[in-house]
Amino acid sequence: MSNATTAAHGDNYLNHEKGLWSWLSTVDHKRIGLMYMATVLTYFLIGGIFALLIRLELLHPTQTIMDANTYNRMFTYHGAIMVFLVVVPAIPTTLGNFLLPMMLGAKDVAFPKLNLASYYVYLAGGLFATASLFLRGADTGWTFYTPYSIRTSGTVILVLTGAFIAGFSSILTGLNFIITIHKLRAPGLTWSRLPLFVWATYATSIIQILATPVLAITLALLVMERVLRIGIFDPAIGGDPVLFQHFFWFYSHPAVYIMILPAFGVVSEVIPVFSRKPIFGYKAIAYSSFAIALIAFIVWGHHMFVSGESEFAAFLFSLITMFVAVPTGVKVFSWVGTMYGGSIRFNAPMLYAFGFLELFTVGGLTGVFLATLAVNVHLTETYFVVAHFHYVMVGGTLMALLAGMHFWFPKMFGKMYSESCARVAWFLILVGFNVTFFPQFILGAQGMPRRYWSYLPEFTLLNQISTVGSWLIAAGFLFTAFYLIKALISGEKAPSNPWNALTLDWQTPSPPPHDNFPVTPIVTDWPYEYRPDGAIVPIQGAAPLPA
Amino acid sequence: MSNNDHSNHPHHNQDHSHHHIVSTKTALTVAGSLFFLTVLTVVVSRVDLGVWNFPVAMLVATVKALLVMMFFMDLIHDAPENSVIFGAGFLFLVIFFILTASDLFFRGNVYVKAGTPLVATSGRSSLKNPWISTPELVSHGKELFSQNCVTCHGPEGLGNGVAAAGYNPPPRNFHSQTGWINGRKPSNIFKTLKEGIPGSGMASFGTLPIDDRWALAAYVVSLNSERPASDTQEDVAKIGYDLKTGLAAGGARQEEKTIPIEFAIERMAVAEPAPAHGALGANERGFTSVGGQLYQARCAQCHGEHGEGGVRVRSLGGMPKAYITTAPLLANRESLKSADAFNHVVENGLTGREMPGSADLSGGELSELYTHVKWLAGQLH
Amino acid sequence: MSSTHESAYPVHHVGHHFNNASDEFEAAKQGMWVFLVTEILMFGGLFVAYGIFRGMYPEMYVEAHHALQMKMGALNTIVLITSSLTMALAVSATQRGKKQRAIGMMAATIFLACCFLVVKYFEYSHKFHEGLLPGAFYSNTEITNPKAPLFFSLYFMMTGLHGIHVLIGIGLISWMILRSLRNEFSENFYTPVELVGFYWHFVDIVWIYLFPLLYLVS
Repeated sequence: MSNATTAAHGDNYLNHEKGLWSWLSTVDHKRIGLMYMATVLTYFLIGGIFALLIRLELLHPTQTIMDANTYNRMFTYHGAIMVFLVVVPAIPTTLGNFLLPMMLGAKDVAFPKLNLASYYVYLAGGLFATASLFLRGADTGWTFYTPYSIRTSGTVILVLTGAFIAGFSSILTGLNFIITIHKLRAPGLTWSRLPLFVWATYATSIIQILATPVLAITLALLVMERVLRIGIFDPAIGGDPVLFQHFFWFYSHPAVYIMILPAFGVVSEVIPVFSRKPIFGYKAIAYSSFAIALIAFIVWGHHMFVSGESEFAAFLFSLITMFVAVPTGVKVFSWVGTMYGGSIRFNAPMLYAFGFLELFTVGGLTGVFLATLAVNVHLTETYFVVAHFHYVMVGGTLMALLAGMHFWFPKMFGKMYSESCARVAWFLILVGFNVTFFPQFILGAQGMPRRYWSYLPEFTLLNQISTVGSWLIAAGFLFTAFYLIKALISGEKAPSNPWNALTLDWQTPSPPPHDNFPVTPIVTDWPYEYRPDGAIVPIQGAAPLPA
Repeated sequence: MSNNDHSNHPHHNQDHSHHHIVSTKTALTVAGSLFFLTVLTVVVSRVDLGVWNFPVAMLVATVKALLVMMFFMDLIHDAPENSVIFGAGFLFLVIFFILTASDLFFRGNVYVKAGTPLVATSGRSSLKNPWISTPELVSHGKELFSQNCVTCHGPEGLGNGVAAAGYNPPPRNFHSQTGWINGRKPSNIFKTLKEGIPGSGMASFGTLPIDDRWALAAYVVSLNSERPASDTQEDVAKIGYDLKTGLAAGGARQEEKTIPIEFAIERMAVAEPAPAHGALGANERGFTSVGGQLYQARCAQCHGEHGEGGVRVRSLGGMPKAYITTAPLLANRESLKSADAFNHVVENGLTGREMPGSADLSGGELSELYTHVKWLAGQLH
Repeated sequence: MSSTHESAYPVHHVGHHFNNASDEFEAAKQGMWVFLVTEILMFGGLFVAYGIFRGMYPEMYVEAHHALQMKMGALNTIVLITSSLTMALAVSATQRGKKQRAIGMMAATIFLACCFLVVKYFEYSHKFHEGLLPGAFYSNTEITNPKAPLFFSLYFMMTGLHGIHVLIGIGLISWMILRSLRNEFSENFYTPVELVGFYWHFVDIVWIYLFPLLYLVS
């Protein structure tokens, strides 16, 4: 029972043990979350540099800085790193690891050693994938479509192995979270009192464990195809190359929801806190996560409308895809409903949540265009698709990650960042993003194909606008890195609950002690009873915080 | 509460009252049942149950798997949520299979709804009793015969067309009275046209509009010196023809799916690599003039955007070749030497070839089209 | 509940984030179930490929499956079911604290698993000898169906992945024997043995489906 007193004396998870080894061998979910964050951000930097180089190459219709083969490798690595190593793990492994046990009032995830193992598995997967860069590299695109991925001379196997291994990390994290949510909720924390971030993480974890194993076997079959020429994807002996696409998208379409669902969770936490209003439609938001997770599994064929799948399947997948818009619309409506009539405070996390709403709505609605069979035939494999999924992945997931990082930064590190700097960076990133990707909608509708190293001269102006936009985003991120690092070093000390939030993670000191809570909290109400005056309704039975 | 003190803590025991232990007797019974089912599935596989062999084998395997799950893995005494979790794995596997199958098992099926602009045929005949021969029907049938049938059946229907030598059994001689597989009545011939004759060179001509098939039937009947008996109500009903609605009932579903020639050609025309002379300035007149627009709408599918030819067209008739290739519209073609020759070919089509007739064009349209094609021909060297 | 043996065994330390050992056990067990779900879907990819191609080329499957030795497959089914039985008995012996019996049953399980692999070895070497190899390496001249290599690709992928699982199972059960010998388990703590048991039964279930799918095509 000495935790409360030690916490008062400044013992927290950051200084509980000291030295590099104490970090590398830690089983504390908070430290693992930070290790993930550092690694994910490193890969984000690498993938981002590739993105900048791609945009730079597209500054002119012909060669600008690299030849076509280099360009092919560049977009392959940009895609593979960003998808498998950044956006898929971004929120669950960083914010999820850090927050999930705290939101549940638990001391750790269910299997702490497994949690550390999945970090190292992830690291190994990333190293495999990036190691191939120093060899010949892969030029298949992140989707590894057969037959090209079987025939190309690149180091495809190494990248496949990397994605295969990283997939296992994703499976183990999902497994860990599901059991944690099932078994480690604090007394009184019923399902209807769970924070929405937990609901979203739960739905994500279900997708992770159901879909990722199929990716594993798909990539294994592709490796076998390259090594043993087993022919399952090879029409020469009766195999079917489109079958690969089915296998691949059975994982990779749900994976899109692995990327976006946790973002929904973050936004669902941020909006009520900064609107000072109870969340509108709690159950609708919670259950729609499950509806999305379920529908996620039955729409994958919409990636294959022009791949030669049967008209019957195309019709079926087009129809079901439309249904995704319903639960997603329910969420957007509930968030807007939460803000309506609230006393909104425009702090950095809320600004990013606004950014999320704008960009995600554009991304989501253009998704409906693409789901429409006839329109898809015109737009598929054009920059319209590129713009669409960047609006969802970057505009959705990354904006939400930034919202979450700004929201929980004080909790994680016990320091405050400069609010004015954060607003400037937000403005740069939001404007830069729209400048970069909105022209790509127009380019795509005009017929500019994606994954091409050159383009027709009439597309020059829009491409140049897009490239300039990418520099704005880069500037925004560099500035963010600058003020956050500055805050880490010399930021003001953060109070335990700077935003007056009600979820359990805020009912403990900043940074939290090693065991998260001085005493196990007892929950008596849902965490969304916000009032306009900013007062905290004393609930949740948490022990009085140390001064 | 704290667990810091690990020694002699009462909570360290797994609570036996909550945890069920599989008894040796149960385990042995289950294993015995599994052995029995293994023998059973081997024995059953030796019996020919037709399509049921596979479901039975899967059923036995599933019973075995359930026994293992329920008793060896003790799911029946476990928390129900664990059964839900494990069952979800199988459920999503089934979803994975069904939706993948919705593609691979349905490849190549084309769904065309009746009444869309692409469809020239419909399930309804415009004639009241199309199985009763009229002079108009016979003369229309004769025209169609010359375009669709002569290659194999010969110009007089003696079964001696140029391609006849390649077929065994040989094409039918319409003048003989015996050996008609489906019979000789108009309804019988209609059936043959619709379905073809499996095992012979007679393909289905179900792609022809329904009235055209009746016309052909009337013409074929007229060739024979000895008229067959008239069609009775039963005969007509047998080919699925509803007397009241004029719809090909029963067959109506299949009729819905028939592919009109234009649509089929559009689907099957595969562009060869473009000719070397590249852009011919189609924009200059190709899309602006009346003739250019007509050409784009009616001719370009097969003859190519610029009349360059080389477009592969699926041979839809009884030709032995799977594809024919159009020739370039060069100025020295016989049909381009005079407006009359051109009009004749365009209006009537080329007998025995894939060139269809377009008799609906007005004189003015024909002359515009001629001018345009001449212009195209002038561009080709 | 406290057994008299308790002092004889090293006490398993309950994780600091669990309330009690029972919660920890239930969490670990459910974790195993979730893990097995991922296994279902990983094998599932192969089963889906199998089903799709069976639907596309039913005659080829019938023709190609004659090259498999049904008796060997049936023998292996019996062997694996028996090993499942011994594993189930090993688990209940551990739960009752009967260490010697548990170790004996686990050793029997390993022995049966090795028998399975030996039979599999003979089957494989027969296929290698006959040129019944996956994909491009197929060189058999008796089964002439041009799609037949596909069947053997699937055969080797499915039985191969299953075989890898058997090997891992042998490793895991050996580790359980080692831990039993070190007196780590008692009627109060047997989670790892039970979970390895689940894993082994799952390997059995996969084979229960593989046997009719590969050896009994008709």
